Amino acid sequence: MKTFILKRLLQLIPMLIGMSFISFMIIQSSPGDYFAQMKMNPEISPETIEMMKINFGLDKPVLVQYLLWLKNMCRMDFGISFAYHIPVTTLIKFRLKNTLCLAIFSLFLSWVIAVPLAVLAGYKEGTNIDRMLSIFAYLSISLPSFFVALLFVYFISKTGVLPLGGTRSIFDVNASAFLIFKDYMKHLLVPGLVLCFVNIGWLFRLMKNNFVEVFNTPYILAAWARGLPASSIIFKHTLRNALNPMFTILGMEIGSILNGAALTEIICGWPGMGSLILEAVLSHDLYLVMGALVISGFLLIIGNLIGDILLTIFDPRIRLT
Amino acid sequence: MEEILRCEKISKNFMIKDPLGISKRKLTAINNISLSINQGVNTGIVGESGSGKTTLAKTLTLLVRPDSGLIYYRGNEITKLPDRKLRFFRNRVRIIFQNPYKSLNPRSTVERVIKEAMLTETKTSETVDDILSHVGLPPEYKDKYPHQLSGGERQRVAIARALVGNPECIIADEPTGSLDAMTEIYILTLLDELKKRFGLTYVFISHNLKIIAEFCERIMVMYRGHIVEQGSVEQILKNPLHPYTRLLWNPESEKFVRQQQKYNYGCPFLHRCIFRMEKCFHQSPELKDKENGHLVSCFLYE
Amino acid sequence: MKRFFQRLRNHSKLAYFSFWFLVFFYIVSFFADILAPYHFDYQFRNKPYQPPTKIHFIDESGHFHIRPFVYNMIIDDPVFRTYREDQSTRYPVKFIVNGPERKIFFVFKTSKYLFGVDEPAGIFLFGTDTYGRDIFSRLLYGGRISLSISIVGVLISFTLGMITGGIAGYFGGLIDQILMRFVEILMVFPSFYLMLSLRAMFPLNLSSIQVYFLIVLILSLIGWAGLARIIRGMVLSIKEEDYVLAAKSLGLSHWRILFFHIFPNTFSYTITALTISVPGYIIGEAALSLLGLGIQEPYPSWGNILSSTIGNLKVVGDAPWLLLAGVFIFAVLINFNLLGDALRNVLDPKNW
Repeated sequence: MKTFILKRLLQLIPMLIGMSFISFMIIQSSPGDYFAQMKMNPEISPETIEMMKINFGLDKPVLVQYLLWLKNMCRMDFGISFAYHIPVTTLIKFRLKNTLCLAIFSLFLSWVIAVPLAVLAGYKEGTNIDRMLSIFAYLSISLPSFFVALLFVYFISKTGVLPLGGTRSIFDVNASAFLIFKDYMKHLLVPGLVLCFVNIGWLFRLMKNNFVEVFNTPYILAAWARGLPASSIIFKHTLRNALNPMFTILGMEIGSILNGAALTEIICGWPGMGSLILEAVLSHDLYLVMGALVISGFLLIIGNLIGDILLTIFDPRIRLT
Repeated sequence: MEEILRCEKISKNFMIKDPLGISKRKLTAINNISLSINQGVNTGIVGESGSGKTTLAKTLTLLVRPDSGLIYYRGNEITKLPDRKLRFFRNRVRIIFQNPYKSLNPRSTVERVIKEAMLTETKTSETVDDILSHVGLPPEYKDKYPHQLSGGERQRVAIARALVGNPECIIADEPTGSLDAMTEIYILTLLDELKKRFGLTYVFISHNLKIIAEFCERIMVMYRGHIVEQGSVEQILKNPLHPYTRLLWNPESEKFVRQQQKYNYGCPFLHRCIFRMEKCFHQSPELKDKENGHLVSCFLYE
Repeated sequence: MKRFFQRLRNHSKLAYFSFWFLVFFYIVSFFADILAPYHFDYQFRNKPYQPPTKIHFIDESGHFHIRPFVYNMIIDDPVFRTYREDQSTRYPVKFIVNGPERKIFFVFKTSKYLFGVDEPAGIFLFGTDTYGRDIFSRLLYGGRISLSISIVGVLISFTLGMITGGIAGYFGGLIDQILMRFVEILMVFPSFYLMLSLRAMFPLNLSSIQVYFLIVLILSLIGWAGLARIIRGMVLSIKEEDYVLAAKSLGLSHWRILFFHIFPNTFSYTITALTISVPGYIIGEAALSLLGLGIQEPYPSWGNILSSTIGNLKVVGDAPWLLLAGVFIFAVLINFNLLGDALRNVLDPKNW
């Protein structure tokens, strides 16, 4: 087990280098001087710009710049945001926390809803319940996240039951921690529900397919023949085996959640990574773009790794030597 | 007797990975095989499934490159030649596969299959119809797709494809392995006719001893990637030496099998041999000439 | 081809319907110049956010008219933008009307449209936007951009994926290693972030044609990697098939084997893969345009019609018909998904 994780971690290194190199190339081929915008800004003195140029090694050849940047990246230093004038790392740290909260919340919610429904539909395959759930799954798969988000926003603007935008509406310093948490969750609810809705569909479908596949295997038939109770067959024998492939899915989902979350965040006004990268692109804040790109790619790799590790833990067929 | 094809000590291993790609296992398909095929001498290769017959056939035609060892075609070494320099060889040595359901491209008509074989052969003046008539198919079959043909018809098309440009040697890898008994007879008769008509030399691979005995002059017996016995038909039929050959001749004696566990050392036949000796555990016997061309690899005869 | 339609219909009536629905959508948006009553940037400045025009058959005095008609809508309250019908004059809906000349795809000229009404009244089936432009017309024109981007993008990705996947899978070895490592690295990035970053490489103010091709380029650059991997896997297994070995044993060239024996046998899978991946391109274009990084005004696309609703709760509340662009996207996506699912079963050689 340890060697497996170690091996996978070692495999990450060339991946990360390639990834950061591509990110760097994207930034390199962007038009214009990074500092063209800063020079336009009268608040920043030419001396500061000159100093930053030396810090970033911008007077050196491209490869040296890349290595310098890579070295800085290892120390979690992605440079300074042009627009915010604070280190990119600080900015990302704050936004990443929000995005992860959103992702975990919606991931948890969608699994808790999708898996039992899939088991129900798989057990009652071919009945009206199954058909209804399948139609719902189709809706969920085919509705783009931004449209669901817009519909939610429309609904909430009409009813006003939940707050929209930002993470909090209580700015009282003396407010209790519980109250702040409650406030945060309230703000989280809208983007969280949107993501959850978009995510449920294909999760449901995958899980149902797995369940049906396992449910029709001879060993389940044999279990019925032995006269085991239905609950034991469904939950103990079928569900356990049907869940195995889902662990890989869980890893992959971190990537898809990041994707879906970005647009949802922007539309619902949730200050996460998605809205950050959009702002960065709009203001040509290149170091910020690059930082966000690398971090999001890193998250995806970690997600896949977690999926693989979970799979090896739960699936007895994969034995590690 | 002119030598067409010769191979010296060829081996081929396959790496088998587990689903996650963590550990690998080595599978030896053929191990240290040397043989030569002479013009006019049809060679039969017998062995049970998994003994490496098909890999040997593919290696002999260089569809699979051996890991070690050399292959000669008419005295020229061709083992490492790139595919584009192999045309002279490809046109003279052809292969027929076991399963005609798999060996024809599902999206090519019969005509295209034959025409394509003609692409590399400029000398031939035969038409598609001529070639189809050689294998007993009427010209109407030109426009059919493989899924419209029966198994026997498909195999005829596959044979026709191999015949284009008058090859000298055809390696037939269980050509009747996936056909029913009647079709099998038809196909075998056809192959026999073609042999006489075009002066072909066959390398006939099969698990069926009767067919081999009828078709071939020399027999090689394969077991787990090794050639364990080799000789003329009379020698092998009348006087089988290796315990495995005897087992093939008389499958009932299988009940005397000692053990099913496989050893990764010693003689490859160790675990099933009723005659095994202390020596067999430590060493693998070599193929040695017993009497005028009857070779066997067993310590019993040393 | 005929056999294919037969099988598709036998397999699923719904998917068969989806197929023709999509064909219909593509044709309609292709002929937007003829079908749309107004040009996409034709503005009724005095009719911002007008709700959909009602089409009447019976006038105020209870008379029935064979030819449907509309009333002119007059803004009642400029602050809350409430409209009322001016029932003094009827404006009958005319079919095959003349109007200013338009060019179908910059080539064919046309000055006849399918339907329209005389001004000052307007026929706005889906209402108007903030400049008083007809949403229905803009949706048709926008469909042309959104749908064509998806098709062009998919074709480019497909070609790239076919070539790289084919070469990597067939030749194997070092080429395979290099190509696949590159593909894996591309796939590591969450596509939305990659899309925005690639967009950041280019200036924000580009001409419409430039933006169009830029979007196609970005989307296919993101999309080809996944396709290449799928195709590589298929080539890897097909190249071990006996018929490929047989072709090889005939001494045919690599290219002939690749193009005549391997690629044709991947088609049933790749067509399915293509159908399933089209929605991704439509969403990608919509997302970019939605954020103001894609197709720019006055050109319409489904994404940028929706974009006026972002961050503007009042607009969404007042003019919910702007969300119809989303409904169009949804309709196309669900049909692609239905069709893709059916194709997966129909084209699978195991089910033949």
